[in-house]
Amino acid sequence: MVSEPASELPLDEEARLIRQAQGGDLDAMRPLLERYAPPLYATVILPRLGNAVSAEEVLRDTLATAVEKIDRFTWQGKTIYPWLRQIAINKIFDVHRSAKRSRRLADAMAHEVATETDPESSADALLMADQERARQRALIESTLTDLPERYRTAIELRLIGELSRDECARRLQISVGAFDVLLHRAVRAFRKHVVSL
Amino acid sequence: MRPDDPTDLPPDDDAVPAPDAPADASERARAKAFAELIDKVVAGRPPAAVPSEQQELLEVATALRASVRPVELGASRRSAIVESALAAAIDRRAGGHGRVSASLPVVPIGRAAARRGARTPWLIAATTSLVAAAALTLWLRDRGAPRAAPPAPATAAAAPLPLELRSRPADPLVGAIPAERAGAALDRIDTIYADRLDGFRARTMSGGLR
Repeated sequence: MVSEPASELPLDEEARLIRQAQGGDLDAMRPLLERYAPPLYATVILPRLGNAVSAEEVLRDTLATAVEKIDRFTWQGKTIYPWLRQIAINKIFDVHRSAKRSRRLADAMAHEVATETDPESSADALLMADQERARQRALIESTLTDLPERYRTAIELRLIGELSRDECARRLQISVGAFDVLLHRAVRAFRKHVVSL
Repeated sequence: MRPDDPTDLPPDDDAVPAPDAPADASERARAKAFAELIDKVVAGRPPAAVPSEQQELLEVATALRASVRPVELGASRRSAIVESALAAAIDRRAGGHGRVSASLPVVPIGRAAARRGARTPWLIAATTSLVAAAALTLWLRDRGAPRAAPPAPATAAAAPLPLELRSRPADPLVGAIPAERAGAALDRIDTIYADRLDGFRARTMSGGLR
């Protein structure tokens, strides 16, 4: 479930606010930013950066750029969310590049630059966000399926199930230290598999 | 798809040992450090400082969690981020254009300087004369007129400004800073900024800012 937006906004209201912002009243963007910040953060930025502090910075930068460049947005009868999302994706690539990390890992984590195609299917921002989350989940599950079973179990118990290290070790009938090693190797294997896709 | 580049791989991205392969002391130490970082992430307290060799792995783990678990951006954080973004954009727009009113005459700098130079001695002379005349007038008036009674002291001090419009420390806003959040200065800056921006808005809306 995606974080709930601050308030629902009909499309015609969204269009009116954008026209107002393009007319010079930038504060008119506030309800739009409040509405779309949560799904941008939860389904676009954080899953691709993996760092909450960086994700908030990118979110702020995304929203500031959108307000600053609102004149460049052309209303096409659908929500502004896909445009915001594209700005966020570009910012995420910039972060990965500036961090000089593995290009392949950065590409894999930022995955998919091209946005969706059907205007009708992207008319609803929440639907888009849910679809995005579903795609990410499918990618994660596909990757996990290809891992050795013990690695898959370690990740599912600790990172997804959020069981304590003690409980995870108990269920796998190993020591806590051995579980730490198992989880460390599991995440390394997951990363290695992601960049090889 | 980019071509494979062996130099593009991070240093430890070699073959991952089998699940049951024995671990040496070095690997056990790294695994324990990583596990403690994960403890913080799972507890909702992302570590402020992460050793570089663990950074990528931690981000992969966090991204994995964010993809399959619900993630909340708290209402206060959301509002602080939105306020900060709006303020930054408005500032950028104001600073970036720098428009000059078309109704003002534009004088080349050279001619303007020359004109100012020619007028300066006359301006000094006129100013000096005016000051002298004003001083003489005041002296003559004071000699002739009875001394006026001193004004009554103000009986009521000007009403003090409300707290949110005055300079004040940020400690009550930020509170105690736990060691693990020492590096998350942006959160605290955002909180302070949003609070001060509220006061600025209140002042400008009431017409108090000149």
